[in-house]
Amino acid sequence: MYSSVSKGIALLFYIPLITFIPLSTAADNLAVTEKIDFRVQPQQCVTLRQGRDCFATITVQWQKSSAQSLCLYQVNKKQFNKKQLKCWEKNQQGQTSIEFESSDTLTYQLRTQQGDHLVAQTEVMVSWLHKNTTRRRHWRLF
Amino acid sequence: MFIKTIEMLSIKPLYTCLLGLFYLTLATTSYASQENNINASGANAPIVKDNFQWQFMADLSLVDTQTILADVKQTQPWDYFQLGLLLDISYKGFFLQTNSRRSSSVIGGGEFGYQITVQNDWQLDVIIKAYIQGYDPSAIFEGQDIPQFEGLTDRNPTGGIALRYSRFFDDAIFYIDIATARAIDDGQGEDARGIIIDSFYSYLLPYRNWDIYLGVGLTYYDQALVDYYIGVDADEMISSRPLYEADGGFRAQLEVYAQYPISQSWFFNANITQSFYNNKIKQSPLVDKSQLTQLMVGVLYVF
Repeated sequence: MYSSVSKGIALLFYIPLITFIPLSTAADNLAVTEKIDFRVQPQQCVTLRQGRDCFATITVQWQKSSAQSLCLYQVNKKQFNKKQLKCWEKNQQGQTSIEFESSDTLTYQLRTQQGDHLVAQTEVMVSWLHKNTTRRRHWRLF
Repeated sequence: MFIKTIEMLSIKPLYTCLLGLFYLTLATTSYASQENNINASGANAPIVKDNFQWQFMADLSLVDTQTILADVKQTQPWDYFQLGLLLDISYKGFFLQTNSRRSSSVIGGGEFGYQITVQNDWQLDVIIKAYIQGYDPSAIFEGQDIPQFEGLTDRNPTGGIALRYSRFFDDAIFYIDIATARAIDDGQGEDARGIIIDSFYSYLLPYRNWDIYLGVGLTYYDQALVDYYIGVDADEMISSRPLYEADGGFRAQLEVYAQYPISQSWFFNANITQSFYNNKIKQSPLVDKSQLTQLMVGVLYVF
């Protein structure tokens, strides 16, 4: 009777994203001018309460017309940290899954192995249902 | 109708014990309160009461519920659906809150209260709420043809005013209500009055994006109230419904409740509650169960 409802736990928005960053407009200096298809799914992670870590399995995919050695980084702009997640050697495409765990919106960047130039970037936003109050606990009992 | 009026002095041993425990707790906390007054500007100063906050949610749930009443079941498809609006408001210590875990009716399950004192890890409120749902025996008899309910007078809901002590832990909450409650009788009998002591402990177990609450509760109902609902008076006796006078009753509950966020506005929730009443209630001709299982799955929209 209830099993059909449990599929409602379906979770997160799987909004495909195609990030075309014209390299000439990227923040960093870029050696290449061709476009790249960079997708991160889902793009949003929802938690019950603001400030709480959000968990999701994120699929990262990229594709471009010429082979290149690229590395994927996870950047927390709030905490000023950058973590290398995976590198691809001379590839035209790449795919990986990562376990997302953060209370902050995180940025995912593709950077060249040589020169650390930014090639593409996108974000996984953390949002919430209930805003955190300044109080230690919420006034609702239930 | 045979209804006993409970006198406040004839307090039963169990809640004498609970009241004693409560008094000891208050004695401890009043000492803490004195310290707070001394250190009013320090870290232990009382927390300011809640200012204006509100939350409004709509609930759609599937429920599989039971009642202790003999042979009463969910029969119609709509009996399994629950649609509710849950409004919570707080302003200058006054609050109106609904229990989204257990109730989805517009009014039922709501409680109106005032925060007498709010400390860092405990709180004392006075609240008004409905503690026991009533039932309409004629509707039961007409709908399900259960002879025990033929010609029985209506059993109205019991409302009460209570003192609530809440204790907050890092991932848990405990509260106890000591309520003086009354069911207004609309027949020729007197109102049923009595004490209800309702306690609940809830522990939050976060797992990834889930919030899982494990709960345990214990409630005491005064004899007059239990008798009002499941007792059979002399003028209500028929062949399938012998005279019965109920004793005071207990209810223990075990509960697991879980929430999961679907989006920024929707969340999924599910609940299972197992209730255990004292076995003696089955001696009433109106009752055939002393254990109930209630299941609920649904979604809530947060405005």
